[in-house]
Amino acid sequence: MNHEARVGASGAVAASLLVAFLIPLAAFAQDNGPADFNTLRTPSSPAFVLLGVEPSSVEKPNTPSDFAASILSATSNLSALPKDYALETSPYWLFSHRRKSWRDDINRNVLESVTRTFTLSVATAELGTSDAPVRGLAVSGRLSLFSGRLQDSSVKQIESLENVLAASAATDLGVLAPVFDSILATLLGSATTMADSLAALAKFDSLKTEAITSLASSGAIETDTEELTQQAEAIVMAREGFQVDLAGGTAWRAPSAALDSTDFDRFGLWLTASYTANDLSFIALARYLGIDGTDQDVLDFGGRFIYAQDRFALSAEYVDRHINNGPGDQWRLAGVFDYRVSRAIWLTGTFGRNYDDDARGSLLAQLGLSLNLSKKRYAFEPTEP
Amino acid sequence: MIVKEINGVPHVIDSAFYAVRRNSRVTLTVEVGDFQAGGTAYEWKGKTVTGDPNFTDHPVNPAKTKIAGTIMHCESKVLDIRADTNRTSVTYTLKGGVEDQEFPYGVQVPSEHGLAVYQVTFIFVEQAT
Repeated sequence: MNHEARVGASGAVAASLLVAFLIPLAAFAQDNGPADFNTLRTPSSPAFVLLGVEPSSVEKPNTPSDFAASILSATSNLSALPKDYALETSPYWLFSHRRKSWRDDINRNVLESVTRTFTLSVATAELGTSDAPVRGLAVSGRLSLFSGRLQDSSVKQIESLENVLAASAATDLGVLAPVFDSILATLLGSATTMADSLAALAKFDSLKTEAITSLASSGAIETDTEELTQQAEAIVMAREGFQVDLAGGTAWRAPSAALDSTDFDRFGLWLTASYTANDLSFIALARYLGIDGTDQDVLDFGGRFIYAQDRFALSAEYVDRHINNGPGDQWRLAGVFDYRVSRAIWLTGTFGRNYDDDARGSLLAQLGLSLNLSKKRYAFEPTEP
Repeated sequence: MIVKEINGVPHVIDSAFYAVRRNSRVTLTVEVGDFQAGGTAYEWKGKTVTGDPNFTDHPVNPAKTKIAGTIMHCESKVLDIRADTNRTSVTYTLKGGVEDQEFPYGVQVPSEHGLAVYQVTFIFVEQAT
């Protein structure tokens, strides 16, 4: 069943669809057969995919010092490999960018795209047994060479939110300013020297804080942030246009769980290119996987075209698997038609050819109904690996 | 400067002198940084002005109007709209006085989509030549 194809009436939805990463993390590890389209996309954290783990908690440091502290603490000052550790960090976002407005991110050039999207992931996991422990370590990087542009609908949402924030600030000031003026008049009225004035100013900040706290407690100024937070949550920072995501990672095995005992295990490269405009979107992807001890490196590639309207969506996808020194290519070609019967019910038809043409059932001809009980109108679920 | 969480919302509270000539034409620029969303209003001589949603080289006092000895209260509200960071920052820039001056502030909101409030008061003091 193709949950993507049914998504949507608009370019916004189609773009969300393209940037969503719905890859089951174990998909890469389960590399016994041809993969579904979604599992081939550039993953958000390739290191986790390489190890085939889904960390219960991922450390995401906010500052360079947090980053260093996390690494040093987890590795006992770089002397050992932690058992279950996952870290994800974007160097660009470790630093403040005071001069950058959200409007500076509507469009990105290649350099801006690379710096703002580069993410480093590190993961370790126990891959052996209690008798023969083997510590797995994976390191990966991910970036977008092209990021498209922020959708107009997202821009309008943020502009609307900012106007609400400005109006809310004005309402606060209507109450606070007379109080502040009164406090300042008293404090500065008795100041005769510059030193007095500076002391008065320091005291003013304390009294101002007390006044805000008091007025907030009494309800005289608005402090209920729930509505604003909901508005912020409702903003979809969706991007459209030409986007190219690139990722690569390597995994090692360490039989003695020590850093100096690691051996190469596998590596992977992902490339996903997509274009979204209005009701149309196209996505092309490739994944290359090399595993130590085999001479059968695997290259998967494919493409998907989606045309989405309010009540229906049409899509077609092609996926091909090529194995070096292996059997011939395996491929899948399918067309999917989704029709919205009611708000929560979709009729889906899939037609085409499945992977192995020697196997029974290689001809795809499925028709089914599906329920979308999600709170959100266009919610889609991970595709099964 | 004081940073205090009030009802779960971090407030950055500060005040500063800004040196002006008697009839300086002071302009205000407010920049909300770190790619976040924010809006600003200020109050000067009993009049509240709402930003659109912020200010760029906005004249505080009308031409040939005395600004020395007056006070301007600014409030900026910033919402975290970026999944990449919880940092927020606001830079107030005053021009037209004795010299142009920037007043940068920043605070991290405790959770995703959190709100931060910046409350900054500027006192325009006259500096003779």
